[in-house]
Amino acid sequence: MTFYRLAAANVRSMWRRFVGLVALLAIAVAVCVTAFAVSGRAQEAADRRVQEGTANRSVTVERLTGRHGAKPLTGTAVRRLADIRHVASVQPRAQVSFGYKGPGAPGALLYATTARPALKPPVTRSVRSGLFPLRPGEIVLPERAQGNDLSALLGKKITVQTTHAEGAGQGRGAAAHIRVVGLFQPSWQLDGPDAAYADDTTVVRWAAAKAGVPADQYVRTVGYDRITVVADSADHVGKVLHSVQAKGYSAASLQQEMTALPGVLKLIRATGRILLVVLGLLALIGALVVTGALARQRVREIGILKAVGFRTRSVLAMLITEMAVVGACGAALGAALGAAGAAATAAGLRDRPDLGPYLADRIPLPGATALCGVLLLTIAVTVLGAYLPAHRAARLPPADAVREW
Amino acid sequence: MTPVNPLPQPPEARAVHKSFALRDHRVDVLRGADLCPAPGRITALVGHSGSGKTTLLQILGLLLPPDSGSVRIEERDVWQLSDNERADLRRRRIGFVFQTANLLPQHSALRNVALPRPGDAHHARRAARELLDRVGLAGRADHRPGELSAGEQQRVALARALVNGAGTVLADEPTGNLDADNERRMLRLFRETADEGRAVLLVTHSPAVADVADTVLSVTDGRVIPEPHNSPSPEARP
Repeated sequence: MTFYRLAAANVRSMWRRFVGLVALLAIAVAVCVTAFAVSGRAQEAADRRVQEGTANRSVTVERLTGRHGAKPLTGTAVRRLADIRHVASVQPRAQVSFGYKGPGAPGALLYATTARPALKPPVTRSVRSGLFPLRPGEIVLPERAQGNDLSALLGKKITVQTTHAEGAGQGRGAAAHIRVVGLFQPSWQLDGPDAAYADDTTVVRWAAAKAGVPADQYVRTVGYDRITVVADSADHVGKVLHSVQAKGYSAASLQQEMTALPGVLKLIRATGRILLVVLGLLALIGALVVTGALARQRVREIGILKAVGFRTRSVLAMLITEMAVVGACGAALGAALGAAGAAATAAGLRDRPDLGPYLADRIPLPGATALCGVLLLTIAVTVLGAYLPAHRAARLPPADAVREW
Repeated sequence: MTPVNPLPQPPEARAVHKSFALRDHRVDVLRGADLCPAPGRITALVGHSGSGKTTLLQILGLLLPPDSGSVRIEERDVWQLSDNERADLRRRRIGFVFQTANLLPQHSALRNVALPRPGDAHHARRAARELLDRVGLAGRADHRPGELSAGEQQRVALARALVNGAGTVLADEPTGNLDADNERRMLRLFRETADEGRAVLLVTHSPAVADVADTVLSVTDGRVIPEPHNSPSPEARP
């Protein structure tokens, strides 16, 4: 009888002895799979947002309001940044708040933002194809904002409230009419939560009114609040970022920003990594203890096998195969439990506004590679833990092993 | 079962010495023991407790190395071979029956019998079934050792010893735990085994076992010497 048949038969016959180790492995694997599935899906969602193309090549320059010596992001700044080597384009952004009250939104405060070609929001529905560049008087809203469903506003001309400055620290509301021409995924938060996109003229006019300056002087005096600098290739992003910072502007690459997950998801991912190490140690110790105990209990059995002609290597292979089967069972069971755990965790986190966008689309299941990795790792660690006691047992002289007879 | 023909030659111990360290003392158990169980005969090895019978059986069975002397099979000194080669020799040439049957408790009688037979599982199971049938346990093939009586377990152990067509069967007190009926039954099976041309070596204290042996040898003062009256009467045979 070959060692692997015997090992399989042993596991079937002695499964009660392995239940503890299988349960230990299954729980550890389940927790790891849950953590990796949730954080992995969230990472995928974050990665998806960093769109290919210009978004990946972008460097964001922020206006540092209130900081002494901070450079304003005026038209001059735009020209200076455009002169940097490897810069393909410079796309300034202005942003100003406005209010909307009406059907579908009892009261929503949004931020009109200049739409930039390099960073178009992911439009889900629109009144026409080729939405960008937007025409004067047009706006694209998020599908949901502050708990309100705004999708009913698509195609409608709505009245919004903007602010007109009337002196230092004072202002009055003013009505403006604008047409909703598109809706985008609210998970797109490159320009902060509750951004809405309008054409440059409209945004600058509203921003200038709020700042109390003429619209034609706004860019020269107040300036933009953010400038997106697009490098000519992804490889040059680092150099461009360095050059922008060398000119005294506060800048970060968009890629850096977008790969940053919310804290809870980071914690889950970190927990997964820690648990993976714990899993490894548990499997190692478990295999060591279980195999050691079994080997001690099975000294006579090992002696019999050697007496009837099993080679040392075959006995070792049999013991190792048994533990590999146990490891595989534990990992498979753990993966199934982990998938259920991931679904439950995602369902629990989906209602949180900060995490929902990362876990919205479907049940987070770990990828095939991750699953295979966990399976192989569990088996490998279990086998590694089993090796030493199994080797010691397999090398027992047969006369010692069957000394009782 | 028809044994493989010709049967492999039995091992032969020559001038074997073996001693053990016992606390501060050195106990010389075997001092130049010679033993060669003859094919087609039952050889009984008797002697008082601690005389070295089991040690000699283990040495002859390639389980324990001698301090000096040799164990030869077809003129090859087996202790000059590798562990793997000795394991292969044990599997192909020697069958063991222990005092307690030493079956694997988690496996059925059938699987225990098929254990030493490598290769095709189908053939191994068929050979195991034939042997179980021969020892009168065809109906208990799927039972585990815990579900068998001591006598039945010993018969399974004998079937296991024969499954590879071994030319030598070494048994250490094979009937020590059996009642008279089961002892007779086992001895009859040993006789059939020897009659097929195998060398059967029985280490025993039992007069009934010695009575059925063709040759009775005694381990005395570390040597193997013939016992007087070692030719049993035909009616003593089971």
